Amino acid sequence: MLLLTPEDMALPAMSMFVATLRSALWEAQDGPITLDVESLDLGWARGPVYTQALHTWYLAKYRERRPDALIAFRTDTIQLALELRQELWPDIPLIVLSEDGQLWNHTPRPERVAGLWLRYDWRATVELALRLLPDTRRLAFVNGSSPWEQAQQELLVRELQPLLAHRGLEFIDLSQLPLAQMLERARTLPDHTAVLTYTFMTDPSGRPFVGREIARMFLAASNRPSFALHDTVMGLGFIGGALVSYEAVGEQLGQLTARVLGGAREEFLQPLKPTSSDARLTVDARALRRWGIPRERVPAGVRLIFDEPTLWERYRWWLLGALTLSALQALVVGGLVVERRRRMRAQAELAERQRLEKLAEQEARRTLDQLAHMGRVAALGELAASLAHELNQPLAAILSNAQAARRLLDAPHTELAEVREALGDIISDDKRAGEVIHRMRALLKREEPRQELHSLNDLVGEVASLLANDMHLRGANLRLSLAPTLPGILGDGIQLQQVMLNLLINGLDAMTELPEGQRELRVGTASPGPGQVELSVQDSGGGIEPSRLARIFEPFYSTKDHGLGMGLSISRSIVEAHGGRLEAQSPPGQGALLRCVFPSVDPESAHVPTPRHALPRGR
Amino acid sequence: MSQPPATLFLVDDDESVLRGLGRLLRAAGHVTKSFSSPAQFLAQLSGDTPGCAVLDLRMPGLNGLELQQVMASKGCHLPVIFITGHGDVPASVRAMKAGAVDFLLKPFDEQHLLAAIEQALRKDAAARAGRAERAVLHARHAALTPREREVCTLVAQGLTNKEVALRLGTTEKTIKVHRARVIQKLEVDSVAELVRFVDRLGQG
Repeated sequence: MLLLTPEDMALPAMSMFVATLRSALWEAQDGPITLDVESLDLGWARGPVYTQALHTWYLAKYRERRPDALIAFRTDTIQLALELRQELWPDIPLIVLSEDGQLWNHTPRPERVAGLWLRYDWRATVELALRLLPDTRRLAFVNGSSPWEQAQQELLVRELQPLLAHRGLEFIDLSQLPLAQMLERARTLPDHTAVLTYTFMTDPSGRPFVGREIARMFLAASNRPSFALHDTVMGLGFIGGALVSYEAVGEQLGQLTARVLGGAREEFLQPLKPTSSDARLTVDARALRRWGIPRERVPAGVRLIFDEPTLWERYRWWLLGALTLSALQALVVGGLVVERRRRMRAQAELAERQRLEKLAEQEARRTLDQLAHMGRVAALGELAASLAHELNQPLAAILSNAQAARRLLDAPHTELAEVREALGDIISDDKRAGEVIHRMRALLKREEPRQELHSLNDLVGEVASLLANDMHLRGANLRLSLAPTLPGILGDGIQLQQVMLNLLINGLDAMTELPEGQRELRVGTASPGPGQVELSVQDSGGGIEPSRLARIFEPFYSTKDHGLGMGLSISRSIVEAHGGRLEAQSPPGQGALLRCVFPSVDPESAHVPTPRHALPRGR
Repeated sequence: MSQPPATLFLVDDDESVLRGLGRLLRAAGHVTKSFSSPAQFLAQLSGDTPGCAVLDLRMPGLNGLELQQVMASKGCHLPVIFITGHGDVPASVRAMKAGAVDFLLKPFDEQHLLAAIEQALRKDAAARAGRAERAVLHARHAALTPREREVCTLVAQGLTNKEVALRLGTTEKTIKVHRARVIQKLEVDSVAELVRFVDRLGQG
């Protein structure tokens, strides 16, 4: 499955949408699915050159990987998805989530397209605002400046125009302002203004933003109550709105995709159905209190969130009754209330602490992922010369063969067999170059960490082949001794490979002082005990001084001149996140030995068969 | 004397590059011999084929620069063109200092490669002609008697017959006879040409 999203996956709406889509698909398929997510960043980058580049890149990337279905979100992405599908896999279904219900009312609908219509209900949101704030005379509108956001704004103005005219509302447009000015205006909005916010992806200077962060800044600045359309920003201080739940949308789209994959052809013919989560009118009770809006104004059927009734509200009748009975009883009741309040406060504090701890844990996990990504980028940077070489070899062969073929065709007696061979070589060399890029790309890719079953030997093999040329250039020998059978290991393959890459590069760096013939890196896998798999990397360098041995895993501690001192600390965090441990030893006279021991998966039954790895080629 | 055709010796451990290179050069009308390792190339290196060598810089076992040295030590005078996928400045400087004709970065264009090869073949032909000429001169020089050689050397240094006679302790008349023999055996027409002959001989 290939999913094209218009914006950065880091945006909360996007990540929520993708997460629920993934789990809905998983549930419907009754098992794991592979969901490749490509974020097109259309809010931040666009133009024909960018689109062309995306097109070329995906052609290269997915030439050999045919998805079962293509999923695209938002009209601009859908357009690109249609073009890509036309070129790559014209017969696979396309499932769309469009914010435009009229998408195919004017042009013929392409074949094998099913989809949903995600409706942003501006009108219901404004009507809610007018119910809650009846003396509103102005409506201020905040929106980003990317082309898609501008297009959405046109729709909004068209839809709201009758309502604005009917109620005699003045429309204040804050969406063309750079961020700083927008915040300034938000501080000084006139009285009787309600604010409707949409998205904050870019300001007119083209600066990209993460909407939730800007929403927070905006709410801190704004002197008037504000309304929103995305459930992901609720809780920050917006009063409410007709909220789109990306959780529900992702789930519905996942179910639709599963139905299409299951052979439901009729979905291709039906018009785009609106998502059932449309216009879920929601109000934040805390925000109501903050702006002094009486609860009675909240219309029936509107969901109230963050609603904690006051003690008086909760125990009013009981207290009144008790008071009428006797003063003594009232005292007792008072004592009970105090006691209860104390207990509730303690409970609230505990809950808050737990929430913060969980947040901190998530934050730490995210930081680790980011660091891991940075580490990979840095490690690949060290391999740059080697990678350039790996690419230049096939490129040289391609160029020579192509020019030879041209000469052969120009010759008086064309030898077609020779031309054919030249073309055959060109094709295989092109694939070889593609492989290099693919391996590199796989390592650079930044994705949510995955839990998958891996063979440690396979992971080592791939890293070794990526490093083979570097080994050669640095005059080092790599000796792999892999256990013939090894239980599997559960975790994120890319992160595990990063650890390996790191340990191997460290080993190489440790041997630069040695004469060329003596640089030997030994990499082994083993199963040291039941339920364990081990990776060991030993260099033939000078080893690590005992005093430094304890410190090498500390962040920013490096024994290298140009080292950042992050590699080993990131590696250890990754290993520990996988339930394993990473240790360094320095056996006298034998160089440094780094050992990672991981828990294996079901050592009795899950023996993952291991193909023997050929030693890497000489370059 | 009929010369064998100029042969391009290609050495690269990347089979695919080697095949493409050979195909291109053959399509451009050259005779090629391909080797996937330096050892293979050295084993087949025959004494005096005209041509040039196109060597990959980075190969396992023996790199291109080392191969260039081994060739020189074995008396192989083929001009060398280096090709490399990983161009570093020190390596190219060393290669050029050791007499390489050119240093091309992969991927290289056929125009550059063919121009470098033309240049290398011209260099080889010129060196070969020079060596052939010197061989003839050596043969003629070898035909002189020891005394004639002494006379030849002194005359070429610009001494008059009388001075030579004095130096060798003999008469001017004897020297004249020796000199005439020298001029005859070396197949030159004048003293001036004799001086040039000795000059060219000395360059060998």
